[in-house]
Amino acid sequence: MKKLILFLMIFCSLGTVSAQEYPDKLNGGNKFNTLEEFRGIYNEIYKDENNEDLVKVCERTFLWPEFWIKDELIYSIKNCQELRNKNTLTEFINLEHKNIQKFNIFWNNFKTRFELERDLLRVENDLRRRTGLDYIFSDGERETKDSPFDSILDLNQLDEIFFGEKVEIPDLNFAKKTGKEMTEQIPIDDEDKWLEQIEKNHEPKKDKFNNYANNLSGSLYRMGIELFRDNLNLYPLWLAHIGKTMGDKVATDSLFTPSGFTADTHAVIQMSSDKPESVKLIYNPVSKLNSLIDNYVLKQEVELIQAKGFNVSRVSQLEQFDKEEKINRQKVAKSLNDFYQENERINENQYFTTTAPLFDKLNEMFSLFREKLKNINIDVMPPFLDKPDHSS
Amino acid sequence: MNINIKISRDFKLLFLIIICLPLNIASADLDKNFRENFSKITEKQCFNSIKYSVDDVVGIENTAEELYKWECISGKCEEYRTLINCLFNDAFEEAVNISNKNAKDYLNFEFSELRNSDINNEDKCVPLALKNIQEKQSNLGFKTDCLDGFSSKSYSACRVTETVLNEMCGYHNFLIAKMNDYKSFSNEELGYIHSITVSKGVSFEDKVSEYKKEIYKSKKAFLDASELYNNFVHKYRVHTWIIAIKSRLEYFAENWLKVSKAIETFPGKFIDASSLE
Repeated sequence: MKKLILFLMIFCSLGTVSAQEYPDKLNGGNKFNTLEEFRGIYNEIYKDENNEDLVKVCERTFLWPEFWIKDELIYSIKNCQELRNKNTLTEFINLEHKNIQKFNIFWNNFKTRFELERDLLRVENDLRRRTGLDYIFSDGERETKDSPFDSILDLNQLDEIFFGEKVEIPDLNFAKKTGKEMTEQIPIDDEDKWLEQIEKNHEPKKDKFNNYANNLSGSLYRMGIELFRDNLNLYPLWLAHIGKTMGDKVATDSLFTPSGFTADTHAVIQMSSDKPESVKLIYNPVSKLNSLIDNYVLKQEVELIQAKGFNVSRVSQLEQFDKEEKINRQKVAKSLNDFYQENERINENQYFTTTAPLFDKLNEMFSLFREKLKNINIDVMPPFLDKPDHSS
Repeated sequence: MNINIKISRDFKLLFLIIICLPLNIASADLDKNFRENFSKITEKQCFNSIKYSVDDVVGIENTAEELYKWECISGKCEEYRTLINCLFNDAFEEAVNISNKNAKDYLNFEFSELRNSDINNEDKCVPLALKNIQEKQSNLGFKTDCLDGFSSKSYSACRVTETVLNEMCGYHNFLIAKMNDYKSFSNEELGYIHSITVSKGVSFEDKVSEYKKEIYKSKKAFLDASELYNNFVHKYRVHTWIIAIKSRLEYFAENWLKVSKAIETFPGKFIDASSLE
């Protein structure tokens, strides 16, 4: 609608304009200054039709397996040049073949392949010519080197007048660039690199105070989530309570949270489950941790190799990270083992040495009290706490 | 003396017989009446401006510079090709001139006419070839089917295609007649003996094969050229209009841009804007 109104405004306000030269001359000139460039087009098309270079056909023909013996070409490609000087193919072939039988075999093969290759080359030339002629006037060539005018160029100029910019073919690399990377010229050569960049751009912001920190603990956390998602969900809540009742050593950090792993950190698994077997997993985490560490190291090494292969700046980042977060498997495994053994010992000691005797004493007292009260009124006194059963 | 003359005559006759015998004497000739009236028959059927006779030389020869290379170097083949070439030359010129004229009439914008060089006339074209040919065809009774608006113009793609098709029809009929007439072939071969060009021992089958290829080749060339011309005519008209409009707009361009940006601020900012942003 806007364009229509604009056109109407223009028509109403037309004035006289002095004669000027062919417009394209003012913009740097073009190849076609006269109609001579259009003259003789039919002749050129006619001559180009069914006009194959026979030397080229011959060279392609000799690539067929019939003309090879033990991975060597029977004829030299240079022989094809001789085709130009011979009146018939028989004269050309007779140079090499004195044996009539061999000649007949060769002749049949050569003729068949020659005609096939010529037909194929003809189709190639036809396609080339037709597409070239189709796009001669609208291919967006800025210099109009193949025609005196270009419709796409004309429309671009109008776009610039109306809208200040011309319509471009969408930049396929545009979506891959983020705010920082818009100014960077990252060469993207294949799909894998493109996908890798997309994934990186969609990753959450990495910070050491959140779950996506780029350090060992964060990596282990992520790997733990990925690899042991189901197993983590099996850990019972009451194990968390064990941790909480350990006095000052209240655990807030987890092995799988990224606030840094030290030997003093105590694990609290805040999951729920009814399966008692899951307790054993807690007390044997070393083997699982080893596999986690192995996976993490492998992933790091693979990433480093890939980065080196792609020759991007991330190589230096990874190498630096590797130094800072150097994984010491033995140290980690020992620390974890010590922690759980200590945990177990504390639990056992605490129960058997302190809690259990107290319960026993209390039960004795109340059972004695009940017996003495039998004579008075058994029904009045409700039974007190029974001795807890800790055998399950 | 008489004996010498008699011997020379006999020798010539003998020589002709010896030459003719190796030639393949297989094909039947065309009907006598058909041969005599061939030109009128094709004109009535095809409305072609070129006159053809069955005895005319086609002009496709093996130049022997390259193997399997047959070229159109003389005869009716050359005449047809020149005619079509000149026809397209004229059509291009007329399309350019009339489009420029329209731009001047409707938009008051003058293009300088593309210069026509008279010095270099390698194509040997007659001026106004297109109009002359179309007149001849209409005189023969041809009535165009291109009647709607622009199509009725002499330089329109529709009319030019019709004109070339008529000429191609006559040419193909001529080639088909030659493929079925051994008499004219033998006359041509005999003609070679008395000329500088020496016959290469070409058989009638070879000639027939080349005539078939020529039919196919001329058809393909016509299709490509007419497609190019159709493309050119349409796009050149649009080009002249766009150039004329652009020259008018350049004066307003800067101010228009400012106005359009100011107008677009409101709708660009509020209309279709998501409430989540």
